[in-house]
Amino acid sequence: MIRNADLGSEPVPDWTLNMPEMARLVDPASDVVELRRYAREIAAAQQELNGIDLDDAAPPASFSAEWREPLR
Amino acid sequence: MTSEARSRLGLSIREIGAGLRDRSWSAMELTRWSLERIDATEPVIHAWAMVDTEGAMAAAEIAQKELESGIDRGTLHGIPLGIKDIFDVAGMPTRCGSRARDDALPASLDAATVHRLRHGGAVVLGKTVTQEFAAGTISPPARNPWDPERIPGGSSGGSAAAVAAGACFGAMGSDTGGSIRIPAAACGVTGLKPSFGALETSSVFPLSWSLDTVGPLARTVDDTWLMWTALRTDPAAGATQPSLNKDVGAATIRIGVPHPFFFESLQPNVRSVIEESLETLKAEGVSVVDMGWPEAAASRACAFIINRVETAAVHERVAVEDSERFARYGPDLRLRIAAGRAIPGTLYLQAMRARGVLRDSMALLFADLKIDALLVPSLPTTALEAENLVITNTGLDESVGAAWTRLTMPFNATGQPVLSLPCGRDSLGLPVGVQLAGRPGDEQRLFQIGEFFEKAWSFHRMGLPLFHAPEYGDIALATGAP
Repeated sequence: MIRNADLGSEPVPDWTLNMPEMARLVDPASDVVELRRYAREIAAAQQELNGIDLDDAAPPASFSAEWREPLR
Repeated sequence: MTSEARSRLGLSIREIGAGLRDRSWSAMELTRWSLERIDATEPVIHAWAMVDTEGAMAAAEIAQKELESGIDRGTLHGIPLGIKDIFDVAGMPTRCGSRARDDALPASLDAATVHRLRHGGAVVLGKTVTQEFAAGTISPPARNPWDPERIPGGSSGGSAAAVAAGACFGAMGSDTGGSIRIPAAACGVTGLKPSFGALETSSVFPLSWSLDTVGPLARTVDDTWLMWTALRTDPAAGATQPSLNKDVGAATIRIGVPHPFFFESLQPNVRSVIEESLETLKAEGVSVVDMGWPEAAASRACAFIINRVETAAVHERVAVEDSERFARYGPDLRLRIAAGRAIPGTLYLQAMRARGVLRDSMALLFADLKIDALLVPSLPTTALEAENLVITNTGLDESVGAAWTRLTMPFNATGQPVLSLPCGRDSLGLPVGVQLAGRPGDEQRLFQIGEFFEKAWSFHRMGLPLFHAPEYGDIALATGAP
């Protein structure tokens, strides 16, 4: 299993450290550096997305008009 | 192969087509030249996953007979092309560059886009190398014709390398995070990522459904336009001889140059070529507007999240239920899938919501600034050495995948069309590419502008395509200048 300590000291969201499933799918011994890099990339992406004001954003397109229409 | 035949492989599609129609050469000769060129370059370039010699020659014979009997399917009639090995091509397996699909059976039907190219008379030579399941920017074992010690980029690396090597006149690629534009830039060819949804992706193995696009790569803007037009032609509508209105004056072109996101963290050699290219355009009379797109980084993040989660979903069943097959996936892809599975559903849905906001912000910029297109670098570096895949001199600690998608991925989130074309070469002679990002659905304007810029930059007059190293001299094209 990947331990939090394996991923280094840089702060990343807790959920990126929830990686037992990831450990099952990859070889943690050889890939821990890459896992750390991925955790950082995902955390950075989340931070960037948090900067977008979604208060007035429409729902994702696939859940909008084409799905609601038949229910009217 | 004679040097005369080699030099003909450097002609444009229109020039080759003219020779077919005035019987200077036949479709069979042309296809044979391409097959010989593949034989000559493959030991070094490794751009092809499989070559269908018999099928290509048979298609060329049919194309020739049609021309002789007065049937002309249009500008791609008799033109040899390559198809990325994630597209179904009838009679050939779709292996997607993965050992996990070694046992794939031959496809029974062509992908919709392949069908359109064939209907336009194109001759399919075979399947080009892709990074495994189109996920990545390296495309092993393919190499870059400008320097075979370097990578061609990816994931459509085989397509770009084959075109740059003169082995075919165009090729199909796919672009989910930059996979057409990245290898196009690294290999000094032109590539179009069409507007999202403009071309059917049916029977093309998915990477990320909400972002996947398919499109053409070719040597020049006009060659790419001809492929694009064939791809947009409904087979039921009959042949077309498209023409692009080239009467575009510099004064009618207004481009936006968005700072800082796209112009920070570039290698100095790339920056100087791009700056020089912009100065050339200004001297030609093109209006260049310095601007900002504050949402650029968020747009990249949005595409990144959607891409990773959907890729994990595409491969979910194999990852969870078929461990033997999953073990045959390469380690990079296994890691990508594992990371994608760890991303929360809420973050994925926020990214999907953000996409609409980002698309609207881009539309507002085009309207407010009255620009025709954005001009940005395609890559922050030139082609990397295959044995030394490290990003240097950009000021950032990035993986190759992150660095090489940093400037392309934002436009996968907005869904707008983007043309990547070469604008010059660095001090090592390696190509540098720029992206022209346009209004959704207006690919034609991008081609018009792209052709004007191509002439201004004179990239092709510098000798494309050509292997530089003397040790590859026997397979160098003497000239490729259209």
